[in-house]
Amino acid sequence: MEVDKSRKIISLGIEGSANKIGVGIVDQDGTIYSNPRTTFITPPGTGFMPKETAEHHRAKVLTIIKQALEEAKMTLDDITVISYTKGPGMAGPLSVGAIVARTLSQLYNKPIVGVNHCIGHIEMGRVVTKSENPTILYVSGGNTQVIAYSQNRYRIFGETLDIAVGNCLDRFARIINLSNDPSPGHNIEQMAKLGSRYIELPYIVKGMDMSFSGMLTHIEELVTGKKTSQTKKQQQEQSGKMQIEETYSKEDLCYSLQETIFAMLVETTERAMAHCNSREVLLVGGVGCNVRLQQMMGIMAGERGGSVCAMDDRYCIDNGAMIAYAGLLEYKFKGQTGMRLEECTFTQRFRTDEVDVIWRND
Amino acid sequence: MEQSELIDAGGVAPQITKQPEQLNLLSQGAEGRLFLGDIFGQVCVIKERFQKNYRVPQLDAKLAQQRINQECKNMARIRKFGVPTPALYLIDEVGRKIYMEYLGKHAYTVKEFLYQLKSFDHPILDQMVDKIGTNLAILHTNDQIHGDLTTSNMMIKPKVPLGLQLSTREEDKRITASEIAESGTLGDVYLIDFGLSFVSGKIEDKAVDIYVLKRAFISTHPGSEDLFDRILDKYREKAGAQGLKIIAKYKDVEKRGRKRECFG
Repeated sequence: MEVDKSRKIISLGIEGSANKIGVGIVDQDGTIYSNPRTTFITPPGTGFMPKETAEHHRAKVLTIIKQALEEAKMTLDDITVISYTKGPGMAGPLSVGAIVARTLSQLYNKPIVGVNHCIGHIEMGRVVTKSENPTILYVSGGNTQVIAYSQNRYRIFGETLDIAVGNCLDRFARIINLSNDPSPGHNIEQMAKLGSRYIELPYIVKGMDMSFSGMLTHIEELVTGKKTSQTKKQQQEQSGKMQIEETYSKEDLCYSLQETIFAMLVETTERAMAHCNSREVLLVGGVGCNVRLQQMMGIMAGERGGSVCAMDDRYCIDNGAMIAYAGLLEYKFKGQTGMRLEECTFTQRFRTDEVDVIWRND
Repeated sequence: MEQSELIDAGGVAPQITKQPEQLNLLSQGAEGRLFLGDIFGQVCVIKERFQKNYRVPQLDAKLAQQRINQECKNMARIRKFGVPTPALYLIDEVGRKIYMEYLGKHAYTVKEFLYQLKSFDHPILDQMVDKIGTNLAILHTNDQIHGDLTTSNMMIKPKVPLGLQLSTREEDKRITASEIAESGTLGDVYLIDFGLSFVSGKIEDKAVDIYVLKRAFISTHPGSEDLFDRILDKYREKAGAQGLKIIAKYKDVEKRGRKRECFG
C-alpha cells in the first residue's frame, strides 16, 4: 500500500487489557493498515487469570508488533504516535502493553498516548459505521454500559449493577463445560441455535440499569438440579402426581439465557434512546458480535424508526486498531503532542465518563 | 376486530374507545406508545404496551402483563399517600392498554423544563427540589419503590393563573418554561411511569432507587450535581430516621458502581 507519509498521522496501538494482545496501525481517516492479535485460551471449565495472561502477553507482544509492521509494510520510523491501553483492565496484562509502549517511545523518540479502552471501542465504532451521534451499547466480558454523548463526555446512562454480561456468559459456559475456543460466547451462540424450549429465568431491570449475578446463580442451580423453573404453585399442583425429575438440555439453557439477557440489554438501550431522543444504536464490545443480539437490536430500532450500526466483528472484539485510532484523536486534538512519560501509567479503574472528549464539539 | 369484540363482551363501552390508528401519537417511550384519546367524552392518555417482536413471545407476554399490573396497582397506591400521579380510568388487559388522566398541553417533563430553563440555580427550582424530595420521601416511607426514576418520568403541571395571561397570548399556545419560572409558582410535580415499580421495605431497594435517579439526573443534565444534592438533602429531611440509613446505603451502592468498572 502506498502511503503519503508526510501528510498522514500514523498511529500504532497496543491493546492488552484482558485475554487478547493486539497491535493495530491506523491513520486519521480510520484506514486500518494491519491489526493482528492473539488470544490466551484456557481449557474448558476455567477462566483466564491475570498472572498467566500477562505471561502470555509478554511472550507474544514483540512478535505481534513485528507482524503488524510487516503487514502494513512499515517500519517504526513511519509511525507518528504510539498508543496503548491505559485502562480499565487487569493490572498484569495492562502492564505489558504500557511497558512496551513506553520502551518503544523512548527508543524511537515518538510521542506516546494512553487510551481509555471503552473510548477506543466507541471511536472505532463511530469511524467504521460512520454514525454521527448514536446511543452506544457497550457489552463485553468486563463492561455493560449504555452510553450517550453530551457536552464533551461519553455519559453512562445505564450499566450493570454487578457483573458484566460477558462475564455472566463466560461463567455460564464454564458451568456447562463449554470450550473457550474461539470464545465462550461464540460457543453459547452456536448451541443456542439448537435450543427451542424457553425456560423462564430471572429478568432484572432497574430503570436503565440491570443485574446479572442473580441470573447466573439461578441458572447454576438449574444445571446442578437444586432448583426447577417451576413456581411453587405449579409444584403443589404436581405433588400427589408422580414427581417428574426435570432436567434441562444445554441447548435450551443457552437459548433461554441468551434470549433473557439480550432482552434486558435491548430494553435498557431502548429506554436510553427514548430518554435521549436518539434514533441510532451502536453496538460495540465482544458480546456485540453475537448475531442474535444484533438481530434483536435491529428489530427494536426498526420499531422506533431508527437503525442499528453493528460493527464488523473484527473490530467489536478487543484489538490494537481501536486503541491506535483513539490515541490518534487525542494526539491530533491536543496540538500534536503526546503525554509526559510520567503520566503514562496504567490503571484497573478508569471510567468512560472520566475522559474529556476534546475531538467532538457537538 | 376480534379484540374489540372481546372488550365488548367484557362490558366496556366500545364506542368510546378508538383504535390506535385513529389516535394522536404523543410519544413513544421504551415501554410503549402514548396516545391522546378520549374516554366517555373525557380527554385521556392511552398507554399501549405493544408487542415487542425482539423478545420471545412468552417473555414479552409475561413482562407486559406484569408491568400493566404493577403500574396500575402502584399508581392507585401512590395516590393514597397524596403524591400526585395521573388518575387511572380504565385497564384493557387484552389490548394491553391503560387509560389515564391527561395532564394538559402545558405540562412539562422535568427534563424538558430544565432543558428550556437552561439554569440550575433559578429560584423556581427551590420549589421543584422541595416537591421532588418530598414526593420521594413519601414514596419510600411507604415502602413504595418507583424503579425507573428519571427526569422524563416526572412531570410539572403548571398552576399559572392562565386567565390573566390569556389576553396577551394566543389561547392554544403552550406556556414556556421561562413563563412558568417568572410566574413564581411551579405547580404540581407528578410522578409517572410505574411499570417497574414495586413495594419493598428493604433499604437496599430504596437506595438503588435513589442511585438510579442520580445517574439519570447527572447524565441527562451535566453540571446539575448541586441540584441533585439539594433534592437529596430535602429527601433526607423528610424521610426521617430511615432517610439516614437509605442515604448511607446509597453511598455504598454508588461505591459498588465505581468498582464495577473493570476490564474487557
